[in-house]
Amino acid sequence: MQNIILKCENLHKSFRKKEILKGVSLEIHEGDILGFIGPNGAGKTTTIKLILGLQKINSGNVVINGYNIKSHFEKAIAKVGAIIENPDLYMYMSGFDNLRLIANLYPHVTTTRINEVIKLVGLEKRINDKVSKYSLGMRQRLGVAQAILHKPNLLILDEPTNGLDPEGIKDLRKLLIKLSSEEHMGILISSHNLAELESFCNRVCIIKNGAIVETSDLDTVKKEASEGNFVIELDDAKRARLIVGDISNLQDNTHLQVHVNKENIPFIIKKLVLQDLKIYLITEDIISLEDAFLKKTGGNVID
Amino acid sequence: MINLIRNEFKKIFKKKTIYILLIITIGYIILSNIMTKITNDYQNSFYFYGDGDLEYYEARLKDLDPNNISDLSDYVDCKKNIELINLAEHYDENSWQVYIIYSNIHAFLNTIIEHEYSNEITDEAYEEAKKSYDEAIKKLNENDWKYFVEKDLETINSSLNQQYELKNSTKDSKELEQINQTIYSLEVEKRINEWRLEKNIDYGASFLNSAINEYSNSMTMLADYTSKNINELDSQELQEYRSFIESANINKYYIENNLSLDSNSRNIFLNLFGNYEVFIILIGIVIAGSIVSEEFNRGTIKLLLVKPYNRLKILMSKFIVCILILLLSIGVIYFSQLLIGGLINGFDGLASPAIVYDFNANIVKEINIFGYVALLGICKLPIYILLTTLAFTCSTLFTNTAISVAVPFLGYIASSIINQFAIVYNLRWIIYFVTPNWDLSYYLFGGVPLFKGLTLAFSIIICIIYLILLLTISSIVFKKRDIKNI
Repeated sequence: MQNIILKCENLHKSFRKKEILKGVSLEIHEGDILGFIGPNGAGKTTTIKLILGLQKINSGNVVINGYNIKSHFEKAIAKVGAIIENPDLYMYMSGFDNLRLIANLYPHVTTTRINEVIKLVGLEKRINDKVSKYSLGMRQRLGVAQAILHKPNLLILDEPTNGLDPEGIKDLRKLLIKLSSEEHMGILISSHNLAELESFCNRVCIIKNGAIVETSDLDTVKKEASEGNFVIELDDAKRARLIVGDISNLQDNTHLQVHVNKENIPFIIKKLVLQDLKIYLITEDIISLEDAFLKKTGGNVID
Repeated sequence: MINLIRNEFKKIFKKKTIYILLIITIGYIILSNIMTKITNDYQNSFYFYGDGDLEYYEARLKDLDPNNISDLSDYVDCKKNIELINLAEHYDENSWQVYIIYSNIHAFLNTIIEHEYSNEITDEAYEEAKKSYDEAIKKLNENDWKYFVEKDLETINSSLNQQYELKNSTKDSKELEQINQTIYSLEVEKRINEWRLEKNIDYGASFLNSAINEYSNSMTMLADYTSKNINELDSQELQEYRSFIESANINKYYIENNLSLDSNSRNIFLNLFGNYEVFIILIGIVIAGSIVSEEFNRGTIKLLLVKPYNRLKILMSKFIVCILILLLSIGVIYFSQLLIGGLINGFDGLASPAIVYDFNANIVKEINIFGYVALLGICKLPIYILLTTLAFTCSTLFTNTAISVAVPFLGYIASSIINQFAIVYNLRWIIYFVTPNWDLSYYLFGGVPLFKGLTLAFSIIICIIYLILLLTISSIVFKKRDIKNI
């Protein structure tokens, strides 16, 4: 078992009687990349703010590297890097000055380390320009740079893919995978770009209306969601629908989706063939994380 | 903590705000020094009649008929003024002659002109006036101003003798008081004229001539207090009384020691905090009013708060930086005035010491001018620090820069009105408020505070209490605040 870096236990948070978080618990281990998914207003950012001590916890505990954030803030936060909502930067300063400023606040961050990180995020050419001249993507890169400057073992990224072009997302993915495998960082990413997360993380945590709906490995989630879904391509889907009955869904004139156990597939094929229908293809419907997510959360309802 | 402070400095000095404020301030310093240089000539000068006046009187003269009894006095007046203006034109506008022409000769001229048109002036009176007039004109041309001083002294001495005789023969106390008053002002006049002879001070516009005039004015004002009990004066009257004592003694010191301290750069420097106070306060509250709220508005507060420093350390390092910037701005203003004032108006006046009156010892003291201005600055420091702290607290409370700058600035403007109001309505509890206490310069050299019963120690304690109160409020609010979505 790898070391636990972050442990949240039963977090509660209310704003003026409105309960935002109703007992959120999650864990991040060394080398984990945890996708933190939920619709808007589910409490993702609030959870992150509680973890980082930016808001007061009503009840529950956050323990980072063995230190409670409430009682030992300085020690708990020392090895955490974060971007919350947007990369927070001083627009009137150059990228380098921004990093220099952060470096001053940690012991042992040398100029060599700063240059190393700049290279890592690929900002060498523009690092001496003012941040106000940066594109959103460049600001994200600088945000990541300031978050990993002091070699944290827990990295918390709130919507890190915002404003990145496909190339940038690819770079970020590579960088995060490298950080988690080589430096054994635990990474928490929240994002609404689910297609992105699919390629990033090894575990997901789904939050809905302030409560965790599911925490498991990414593959398990997808498998569970897609279990027993098959798509049959044939010449007359409407007629086939009448034959197969309620377990099937009409996708279009030539595609029929059926929800059955794998063992029952040959019987269905036999039925259809006997009725002179032409079957071209049968595929297992592996749904995307997005569909799995929608299935789990039941759509984007904020209450 | 040192790292936090260093970072705050970096953030401020990477922004344009501080530079713009400093440039405006230095620009104002340059401008006011140049303005003083330009208007310098008028500072001690007389103003009797200007360029347009001659034309005015000439035009008016044409409308008046000396044979008409109702026009007569106006006619004589116009004619006299025309003559005086023509006469004064021969001399430099700030010379002693011009002063004598308008203060002394005009009386003779009036008699001479009136004699021409009216029977009320006897021939004898005319002859006498004519004689005096001719004599005076002669002395003007001979540049003999002492003649007029001696003549004045003669008149004063004879009046004095008369008054003393009267005093000896009068028993009525009311009349006696009247006589004493007259003797008092005659003695002042006598002393002034003796000084003129002794110290060689003519009537021309000069520093020492104004010192003589101010001495005379202060002594005249002080005459009113001889019948009053000083202990029964209210604080405002006491302030006034003391200002006359101070002015009389200091001007006397100037005259007796022949100190001609007529330097613009010196005058501006001595009144450094009166002239530039508003800029010190502006820099202080703009920096303090934005140092917390700007981080909230830009969202960078989150960046700062997830660093391994507790919130109190972060807030206090910001506060320390505000105070350091405030002190820095005072230093910049202090030295810029010295340098700019010296370059524009000359450095010479800065060598002489500041002259102050010490009410404790009742003596005039000479103090090193740089030390004196620095001392004034220290006495005014509570004002600047408390206003800066108020801006800082507003900044943490409202996270809105505009409010945080406006509130302390309005407070500063209102403070003198608050004090005035409290004095007028005799509100005793105001002594527990900060505004009567934060200007410690009232206590300098045995000075009296704005309200009776205030002491230096009390004022300092009140200022410290308010400082701690403001800092406590901002610390609590800052520590408890939830960082919402920005």
